[in-house]
Amino acid sequence: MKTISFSVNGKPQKVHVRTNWTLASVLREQLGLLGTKIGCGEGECGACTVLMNGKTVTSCLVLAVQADGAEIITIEGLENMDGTLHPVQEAFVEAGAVQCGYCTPGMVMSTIALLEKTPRAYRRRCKRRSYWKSLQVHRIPENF
Amino acid sequence: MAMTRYEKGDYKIIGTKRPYVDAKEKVTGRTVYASDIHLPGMLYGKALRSPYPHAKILNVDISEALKVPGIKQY
Repeated sequence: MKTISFSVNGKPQKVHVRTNWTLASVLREQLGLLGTKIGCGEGECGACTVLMNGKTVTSCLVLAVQADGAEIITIEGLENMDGTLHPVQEAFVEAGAVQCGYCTPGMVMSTIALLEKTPRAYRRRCKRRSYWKSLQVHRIPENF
Repeated sequence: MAMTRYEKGDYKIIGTKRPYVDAKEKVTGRTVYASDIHLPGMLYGKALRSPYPHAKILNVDISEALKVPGIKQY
């Protein structure tokens, strides 16, 4: 057992973890943040994507001890206090970019990281016109 | 039989794009899936698959599995 302290959605957290626990399982089972989903458990599907120090990681492949001191943002950290959604979440709703929704939290986190890294990425990479259109509709600034 | 043709804009709801009713709770990760449910007394299980593609199971030796602490046998 090892004690790690890290920040999750801006809240400092101190958790006792086993060294073989993954970040995903700690987020879900210790901290109760069930929005982060485990799909394949081997980093293929991306459902467990969270932001670690601003970069996307598949949290099922990150050991909890590796996240010691890191800053983690999960899907729960996107909503504002007043319940309004992040512009990317708004865009997903608008475009109907949701099916069963199991991996949607991961897709939202990936989209946010992509747009933060390359603010104009949606023009080149996001092929679904409806999606990029909905970003336009919401007047998403180039780096939010 | 005469067919009535409805044009876009004839109705407020029909013919317009509506947001999915479950979209908001899905993009916020609030939707509860089976893997999110925890009930008291839940156990972990694992399937042991045959290493042979075509064979008859004569017996399964579970003695090693029974040594695992906390194992339940039914």
